[in-house]
Amino acid sequence: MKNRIPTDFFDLADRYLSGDLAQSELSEFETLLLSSPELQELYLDYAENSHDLNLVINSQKQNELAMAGIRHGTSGTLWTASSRFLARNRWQSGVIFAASVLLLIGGFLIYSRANSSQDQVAWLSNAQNCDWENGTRGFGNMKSNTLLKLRSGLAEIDFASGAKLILQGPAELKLLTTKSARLVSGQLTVRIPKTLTGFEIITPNGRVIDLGTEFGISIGDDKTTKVVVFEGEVEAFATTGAAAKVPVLLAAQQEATLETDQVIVSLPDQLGNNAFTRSIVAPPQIIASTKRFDFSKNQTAGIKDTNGKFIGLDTRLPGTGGDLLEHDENWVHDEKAGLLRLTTTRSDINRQTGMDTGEYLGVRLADYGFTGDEDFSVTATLDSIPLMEDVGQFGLYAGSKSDLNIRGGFLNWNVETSEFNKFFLVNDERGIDKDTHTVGLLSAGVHLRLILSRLSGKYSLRVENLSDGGQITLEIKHPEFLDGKSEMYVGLFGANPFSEARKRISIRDFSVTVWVPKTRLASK
Amino acid sequence: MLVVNHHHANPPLVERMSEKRSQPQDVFEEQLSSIRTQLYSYIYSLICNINDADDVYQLTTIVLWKKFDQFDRSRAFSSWAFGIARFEVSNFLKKRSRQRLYFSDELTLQLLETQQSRIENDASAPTVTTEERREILASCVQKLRISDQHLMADCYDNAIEHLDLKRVAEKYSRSVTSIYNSLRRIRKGLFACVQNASDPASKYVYGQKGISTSEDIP
Repeated sequence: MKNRIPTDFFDLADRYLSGDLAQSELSEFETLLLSSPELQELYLDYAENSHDLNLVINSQKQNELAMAGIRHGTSGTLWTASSRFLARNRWQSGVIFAASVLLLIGGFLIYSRANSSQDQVAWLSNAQNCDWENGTRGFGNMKSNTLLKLRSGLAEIDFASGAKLILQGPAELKLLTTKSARLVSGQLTVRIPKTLTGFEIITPNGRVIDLGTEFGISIGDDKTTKVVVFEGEVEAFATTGAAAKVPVLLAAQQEATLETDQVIVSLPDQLGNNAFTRSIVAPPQIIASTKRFDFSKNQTAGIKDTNGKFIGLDTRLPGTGGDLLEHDENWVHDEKAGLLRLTTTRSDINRQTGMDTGEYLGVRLADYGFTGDEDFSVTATLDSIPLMEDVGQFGLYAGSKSDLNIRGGFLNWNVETSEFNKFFLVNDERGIDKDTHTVGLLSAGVHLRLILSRLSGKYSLRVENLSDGGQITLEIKHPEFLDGKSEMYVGLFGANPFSEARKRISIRDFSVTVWVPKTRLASK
Repeated sequence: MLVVNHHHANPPLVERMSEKRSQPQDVFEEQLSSIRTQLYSYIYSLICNINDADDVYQLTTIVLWKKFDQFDRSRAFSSWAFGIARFEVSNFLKKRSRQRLYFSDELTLQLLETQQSRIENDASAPTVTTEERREILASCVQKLRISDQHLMADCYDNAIEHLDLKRVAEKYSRSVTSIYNSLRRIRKGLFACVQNASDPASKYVYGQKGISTSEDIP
């Protein structure tokens, strides 16, 4: 049942907006509005329409002025006309003013469609991993004949007509009008609001006109042009012949190939698997989950040191330390000095000898949100490192067990002991060291920070010399054998594999970071 | 070959983390953008003058930004923003009420609640956008009789400042009242045209030529 609108309603609304109501009429109008939320809605719509009318009438008038100027070759007057329009159009200039004020007080700009210039055809509304060719960046307002060359990524373009287009790189697109564009190469999808029809995409082999719909077009490397309709209907035209004049109607879930002189509709069993992107989904927000062990403070968990004090680190690399005592005599937590000290033991992870007394102690990454694919890093700050002997070594490890890991730090490479340590990074697969890289000359006594990271899936060891400010990053062949492992451990190790020359290393702090999706942390 | 990089192959960790942090300005801008049109319409519907509505809208956005760090994120942004807009409108109307008549506080508040519930309904079942509605309005204007199109163009020549109907009346050799009546008729017709096109399922009946009221609905 349709509702009735009181006879005087629009007269009263119109005159209220014009400021012409007498007190008695205002009371009458108020009573009417207070009696009905529906009439309040109607009034709000009417007020909005009244405001829009100013914009629409003026923009049409300015358009006529501009066209007249072009027709009579007096386009010099256009600038005056449109600047006068802008000066008068306080809503548009008001938004610009508001944005300027906000720019001053907050350092940002409100994006407004209302302040678009008349020759603006479209604007970039969203982008993901876009790599534009030089000079074709699609930022801000875009005019007719703008050629967009997208090497890779996804760009969402809003047309002034209301159509939304997602361009998938690599692709080239030329903007023509608010209701048309030319796809030169690559592929795109278009979504058009229900109220808009006639949006057109032109390709080298033909064109497609929407009838209120969502569709995709792709031009293959061999110039094959495919049209796929997701919703609604489109009209597809070839470039020449009868098919250029008489369209082929394509309905939802239909696909066709555009050839220069014909449109060939695919049979249902011939539908291709076109990877069209119909919306840009933001990648998950990643945040750092970090645990830092500050050894100047009392620790309340983990393995106990020789004096029975907790040291914070709680998990040994599987396959190591099986014979070590409950109060591990190789560790000392010296809170006063703010240090955790490790005395190396005789063990060699290369060929897995002495692993039951091997010191490989740290944390389990899964305890910090790691499930297998996340990036992570582990950091240790060391005070006054000793000179190692006979391949004696100290550093950081990451791995799933004693015979599947990557480790790095510093060692004394020469069997005949050198006066310098070297940096090293090495993979250990099935208990055998491989891909070993050593570099540098490192004096005893310097302070170091070691950072073993997996970032974007790639491992590296960064060493910062805190004594002289130097730094170096080591990378080796990627340890594919660790990819996809969900049970991973990171920590500190120290070993004197070939002699009884045990060395003591002082660790000032130790931290571990796992980069996890925010949604996962929030759901915890 | 030994691979040694003297510069870290990946961005520093601090940089990586800051990239992923959204700024308060971004959040504010996004929230404000989502209700900008409705907020402006609400202000305009109460103040009835585009210049003044612009000023109050600007003032409201500045107040919103200044107070954004006090905004309780567990509340709806629109409720908070409309509350502040209402306050700014009220302040404005107190200063201007000597010059013309405005709605009472009670109705102002009710209109605020109505506008807010429209926003919520629109979020769950989106109707046409502002741009779409303006496009419809433009096509409705094109459908007017040529003489009405000319009249509208003349009347809105200085429309943003004020409707100079006296000047238009002189041009057409008609009375101001006559011009005003024509304008109201055309505006109603355009409103009906937009409503019919954008909301065919409307609970109201709009005729082809204008608004059907209780007098002519069977």
